[in-house]
Amino acid sequence: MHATALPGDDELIPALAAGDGRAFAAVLDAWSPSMLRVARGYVRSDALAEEVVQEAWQAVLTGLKRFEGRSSLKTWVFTILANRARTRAVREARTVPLSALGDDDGAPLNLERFASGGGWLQKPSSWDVDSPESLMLAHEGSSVVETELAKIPPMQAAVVILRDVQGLSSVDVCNLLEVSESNQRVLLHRGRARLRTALAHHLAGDPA
Amino acid sequence: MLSCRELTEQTSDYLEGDKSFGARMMFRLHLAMCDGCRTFVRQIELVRDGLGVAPLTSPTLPDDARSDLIAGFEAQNRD
Repeated sequence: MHATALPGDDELIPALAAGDGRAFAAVLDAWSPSMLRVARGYVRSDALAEEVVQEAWQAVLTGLKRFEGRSSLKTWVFTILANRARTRAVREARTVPLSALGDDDGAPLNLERFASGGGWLQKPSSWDVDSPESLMLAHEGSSVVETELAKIPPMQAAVVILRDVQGLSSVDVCNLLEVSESNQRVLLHRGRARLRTALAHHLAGDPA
Repeated sequence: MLSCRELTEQTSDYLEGDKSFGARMMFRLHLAMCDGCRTFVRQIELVRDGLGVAPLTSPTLPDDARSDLIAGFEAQNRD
């Protein structure tokens, strides 16, 4: 179950086809934050990401009547977005292969610290959190995550958003981002691990 | 034998079910004996599931961009 009050495609698509402005506003508001972050995985500024997302929505508006429902609406919209972002990145002379990995700030895959034998140098402290909901709400995990997503390598953020926030499948995400399955897994795991570290600091009361 | 370091690197694969039966068993054996790794895996799971239940509300499109798009949608459907 993914975080959205949106109706399913079976309601949404007919509503959009019928010109229901509220349905369009609902998808616009539900998906734009994620689209902006994914775009930011390709282009070098927030302003450019905003342009890319607006262009993507324009393309969605143009293509909506021809949408055949072979994929989910969400997959279709995010595919348009990724294509626009990639095109724009090339135009802005960012090399796409670099941004497709874009996760390398020199950190090893492993953020945790281990002894030479591979055992924990310092084990993670357990969290007094009993559910994902309570992590995000009662413990303010949402605001930590939103802040951290803006700081981690943008391509890691993009994969985490597409997979974990938006619930797209691994296959769809690989196609959409044009990354291999193994790249996608590495990006996903690094992104999640960074978020875990940020949440651990927050829950331990460490200064931001 | 799986080290803790290796386990943490493979946690997302494990949670996504991307491991062979044998590899999963090794993973579970390690987890049964290692509270540090149990904690880590549980936390990655909480992060993954937390991301799925809390809507992302930022960043947002500028208000005028949002209004223009909605107006565009409505204009398109008036024809």
